[in-house]
Amino acid sequence: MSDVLHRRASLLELDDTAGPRAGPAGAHRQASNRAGTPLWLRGVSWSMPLAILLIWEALARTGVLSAQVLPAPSSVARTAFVLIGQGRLIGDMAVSLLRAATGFTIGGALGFALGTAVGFSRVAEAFLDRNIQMLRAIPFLAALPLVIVWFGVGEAGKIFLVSLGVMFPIYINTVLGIRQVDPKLLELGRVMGLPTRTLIRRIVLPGALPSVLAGVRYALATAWLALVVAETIATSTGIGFLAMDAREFLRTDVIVMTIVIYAGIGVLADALARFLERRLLAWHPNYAKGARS
Amino acid sequence: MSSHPDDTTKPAVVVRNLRRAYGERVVIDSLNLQIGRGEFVALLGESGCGKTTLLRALCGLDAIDGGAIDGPRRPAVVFQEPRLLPWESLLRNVSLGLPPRPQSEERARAALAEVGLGERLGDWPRNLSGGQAQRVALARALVQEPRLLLLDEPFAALDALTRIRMQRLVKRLVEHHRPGVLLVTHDVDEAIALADRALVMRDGAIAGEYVVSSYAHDALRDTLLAELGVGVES
Repeated sequence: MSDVLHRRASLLELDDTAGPRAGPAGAHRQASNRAGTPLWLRGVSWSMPLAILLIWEALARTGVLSAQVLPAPSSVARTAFVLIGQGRLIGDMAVSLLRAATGFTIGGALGFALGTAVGFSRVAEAFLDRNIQMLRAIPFLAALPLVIVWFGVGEAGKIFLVSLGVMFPIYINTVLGIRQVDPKLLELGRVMGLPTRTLIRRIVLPGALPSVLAGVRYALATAWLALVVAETIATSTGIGFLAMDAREFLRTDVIVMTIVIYAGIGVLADALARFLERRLLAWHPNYAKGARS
Repeated sequence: MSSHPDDTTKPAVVVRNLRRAYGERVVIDSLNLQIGRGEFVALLGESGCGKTTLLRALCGLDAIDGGAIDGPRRPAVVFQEPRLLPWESLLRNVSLGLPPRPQSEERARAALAEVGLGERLGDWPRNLSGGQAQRVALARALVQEPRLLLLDEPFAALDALTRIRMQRLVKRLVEHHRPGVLLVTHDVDEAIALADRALVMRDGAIAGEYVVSSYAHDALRDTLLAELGVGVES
């Protein structure tokens, strides 16, 4: 009986080390637990995708999978090299990335600025928030026909669509982040007589940062989605154009390649966002060890 | 750092006929209180007696409905929780209230060294134990060289041994810096161990006042406990 009680107590202690009071020893114990996934299981989790790739290759080579339906991974890779050699692929990728980056910057800046205003001021909230929430109810891809009417098939429409997709997640997470700043820290700032500027710079914005960065990560995925759709509908350059052009000639290998590129850049963007989180949130117990997915 | 001579002659804070009410409910009524420079005053009282309200009024967080508080506009405060900024190093946390000058950083370094954390000035707050974090909060309060230091149950969340260590540290630091101190606590032994004067607050006013040095320890303990509604067991 007392043994059970004792064990429960030590469990509680373990829980306690996860809290803000974790000493170096507690943190170490936690880290070793996390890395405790057996090596062979980690091996399995990495080799399974590889196995699927090999099976796919085998099925394509033996003709079970028609090249029209799904070409072999090796032939997709070969196509990529050929296109790079022709000088097309890199240029199209650059165009797509530039669209995404421009749209992300505009939409992100707008979302952050509006979010900051609404987060701080009840007046700004009264003026803006309901409108923004109503616009947000529109699935932004539904605006596509309108965007084509407004902007035609040029760059502006695509960038507009990406900005639209990025703005809302950043806006919402910025407002949320500012509202969720620990009121006890704000009280401390007031007791210490910090001027408003210092209060914002050293307490409010850093406190809102985890939420803002979560918004950035979500917005990266939205930006990408917006770009794929915009590029598929009306364009003459970019990865999406490459795919649509290939469809005309039934070049399944090129289509699969563009899909892989979209996926790859999406993964890279997410990795970049996570890197930012680890750097900027090094102080935060949940991010420091890179354990969060 | 020495204080200005004219400061030392003035009391740290004088409260006259303080009144504070939330609507119909009067929380503090005709409260008078004076704390001298270098004097350590403990404030005891049951929950809901108005201690916290008094403290919030003293540090300027709450408005007052009557009377006057003659004291520093910005007394230093240590709360029950350390309230460190988790995204700033210990050094930046301690220098938070100081003007951005090179000397400020030097002072913050010295303050951290004074609480025994001089080696860890670049560390994040999340790597600290509860007692260490509270020591940083103490350094942040004392680095401002306050005329009045308010301690709001600062040891309540610490384990028994850490609490004793912290009490000794506070006693030593207060003797060195000599601010007027108001310690809000539930712990009678803590009050006797640290304070020059123990006040008992009841129904929004000071109901009892005891100069600690003029009583025998056990007698004072029993008296204070009785004042707080915990009589001696027969």
